[in-house]
Amino acid sequence: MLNRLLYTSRCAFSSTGDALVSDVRELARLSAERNAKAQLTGALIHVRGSFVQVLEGPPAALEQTFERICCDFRHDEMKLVDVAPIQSRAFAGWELALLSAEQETALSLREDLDEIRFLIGINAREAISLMRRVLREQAAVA
Amino acid sequence: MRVVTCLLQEHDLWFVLLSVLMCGVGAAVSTTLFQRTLNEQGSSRLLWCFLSAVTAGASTWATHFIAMLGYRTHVAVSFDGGLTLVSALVAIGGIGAGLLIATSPRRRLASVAGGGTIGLAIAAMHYIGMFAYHVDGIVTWRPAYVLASLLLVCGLGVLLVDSLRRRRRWEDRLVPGVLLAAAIVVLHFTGMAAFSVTPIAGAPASANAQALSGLAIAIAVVGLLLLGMGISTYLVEAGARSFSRKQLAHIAMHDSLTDLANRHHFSTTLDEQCAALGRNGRPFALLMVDLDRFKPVNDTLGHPTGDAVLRLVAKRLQLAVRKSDLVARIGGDEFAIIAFDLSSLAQAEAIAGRVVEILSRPFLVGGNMAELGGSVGMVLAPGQGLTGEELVQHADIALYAAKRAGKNRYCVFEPEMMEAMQRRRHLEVELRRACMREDFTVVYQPIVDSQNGTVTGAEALLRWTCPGRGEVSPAEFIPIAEDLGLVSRIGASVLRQACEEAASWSAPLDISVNVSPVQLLDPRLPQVVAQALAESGLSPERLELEITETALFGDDEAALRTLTLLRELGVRISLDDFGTGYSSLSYLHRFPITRIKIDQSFVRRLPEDPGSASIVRAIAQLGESLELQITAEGIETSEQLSFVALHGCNHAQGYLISRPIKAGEFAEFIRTGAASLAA
Repeated sequence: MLNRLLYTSRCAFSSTGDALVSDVRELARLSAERNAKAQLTGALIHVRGSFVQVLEGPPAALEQTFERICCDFRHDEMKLVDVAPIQSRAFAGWELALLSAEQETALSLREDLDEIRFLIGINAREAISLMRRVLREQAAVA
Repeated sequence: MRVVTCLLQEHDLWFVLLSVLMCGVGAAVSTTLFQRTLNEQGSSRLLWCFLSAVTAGASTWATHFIAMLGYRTHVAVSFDGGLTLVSALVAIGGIGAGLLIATSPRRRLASVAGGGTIGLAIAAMHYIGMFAYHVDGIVTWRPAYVLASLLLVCGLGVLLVDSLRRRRRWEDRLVPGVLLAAAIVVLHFTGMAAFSVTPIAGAPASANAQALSGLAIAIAVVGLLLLGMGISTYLVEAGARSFSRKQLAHIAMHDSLTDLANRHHFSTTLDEQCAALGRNGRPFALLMVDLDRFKPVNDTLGHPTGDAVLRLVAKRLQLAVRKSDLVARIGGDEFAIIAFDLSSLAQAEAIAGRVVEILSRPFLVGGNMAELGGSVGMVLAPGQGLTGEELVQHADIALYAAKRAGKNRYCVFEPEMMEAMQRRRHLEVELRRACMREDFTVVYQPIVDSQNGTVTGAEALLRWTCPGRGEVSPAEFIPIAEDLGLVSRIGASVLRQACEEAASWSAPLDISVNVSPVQLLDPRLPQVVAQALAESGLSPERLELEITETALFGDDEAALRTLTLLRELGVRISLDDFGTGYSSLSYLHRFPITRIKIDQSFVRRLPEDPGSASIVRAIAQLGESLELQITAEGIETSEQLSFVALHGCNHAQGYLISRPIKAGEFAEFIRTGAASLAA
């Protein structure tokens, strides 16, 4: 049994600029390590001072991790957009892929991330498939 | 003197040292166990008594026996095994018996008889042991020493029991040990001084020194092992007891569900902090936290999920405060926080802000999502209160203010809140009383036909004069009545009064009565209306119930059912304050509405304000095409009246026509035929 959850929040890191970018990268790296142990996969999007995160995995581990996220004061205005059972992982292989538009990013990626942020409130499924497509493209480029 | 020479000259010093060691350790362990025995009750006292007696008896016997082995004679020595064993058993049995007597509630008996028995047991052990000691020589006894030894050992025994029974400071625990050791030593050496052996000439002097020391060491080892067992039993048991005592203390101080401090712990800590304020205590803050929307979680997702949420809440609260702060659960979904050692209000507000923030985040439990939120009332000591009671009261008032202000926020206590609270409390009490006595008055505001100015009816309006506070506006007391669950009763009372009044009018004019959203959701409303009509004899067509859009906004299925039933009674329904709320046009279509009342905020700006004019016109046209009656409320000028009359509003109501007037005045008004107020 697998569940997927999707939430948005506002970045409340005390750092700015390059320091912020590296702080978020460090956060994503640590989270990915923890997710690997908990058999979770997902992606974190950082765009225009907001976070969009999707996480998928066994329900118990997912809830535990979500509670830890809820206890983190480095973001606020948390909104749980969706929690639902899924057949298979959309982000298999990504313990926590980070997509950030806060650093030097190609214009097309920036547009895609804006689009995802916009889509979240309207159609979560679309947003997730767009996230997946963007990740694939990024992986292909790298 | 003879005792000292006996000790120094007639004993082998190594044996003496070994027996002293045996005696000292034995006395220390034995008295510890004695103490334990005296503190026990019932059957466990007997078990402890047995353990103590075996330990004390065995160690006393071992002390005696080792010392005996060290007794230097120049003749051959042998022991009677049977008697030696008897001496050991006498020691154990006698000490056990003495100890049991020492537990007697009668103090003197306990000390004298118990202590005496213990003393005699030691003496009996010694002298029986001496009979088992066979020497090849002439044995002489000195009766005076025997007697002295008996008196001394009994005296020391009495002192021992007496000191055991006295609960004193820790360091005094040494005293019984010293007394027991003294009893054993004094008895032994006085007893040995009473005894002497003269070798028989020619008998072989063949004491086997090596065999004797081997025996002494063996006995010492066995004795010490017994002592070790005694003391380890004691320590294991004491450890378990202290663990369970700590656990009990923890249980007494903590909430079993969340493991947070409980109410008792919280109150104690708060009182301590308040007491410290007088001396150079540091300022601190008290935060009362109430979960918002917790009850629905419990009701819809079940108590196990509710409990899981509470556990998460507890963890979150501990993360939101500083490590040193105290978080307590003081009720089902009520928590309290004491934030110690604050340097500023800002610091306290930061904590309150974090609490509100962390509780506003979603909870995910067992596949269920719960959106809670928390309201926080905060008070600072010593600035806003000096005693625990005062602080709690003020924090509760601030909490209440936070809830009134829309929940999911914190409020810091302000003295003005007290007044508001007191007023509210007073109003609550008086409102309940008024409700019981139906102490409300109804006034009537005439409604006229806008075309010819004839009075067609009146709107019944609720008025309440609170004893001690004067007239209170419905805008203030209706929400309170809603909170108290009194709205339906008040509403029913107004309905009854209005129907009765209207039935008594000389002309069959219309009467409209307001129905609050809470009333509308009450499934008994149609029955209440039917009853009011039946009792007053008012014909249903004359009654119009005014509802607001907000009433339709919530559970619209239930509202639709109720409204349909009301329409079936023949009662008409009007939509009050139209244009101010969501004003969904679908309401007009879906619900059996017969009239729209245009809100006075549009009418007031007539006829100058083009926006308001358009809105009034549009609503009037809407009414016409949907075949709804239209009433314009709040008419204050004749221009306004002409405007609404011109644009098709059927009826008008407002200060220009008349203020709300008393029932008698309105009845008079109809009777005198002053049916036309304005043209």
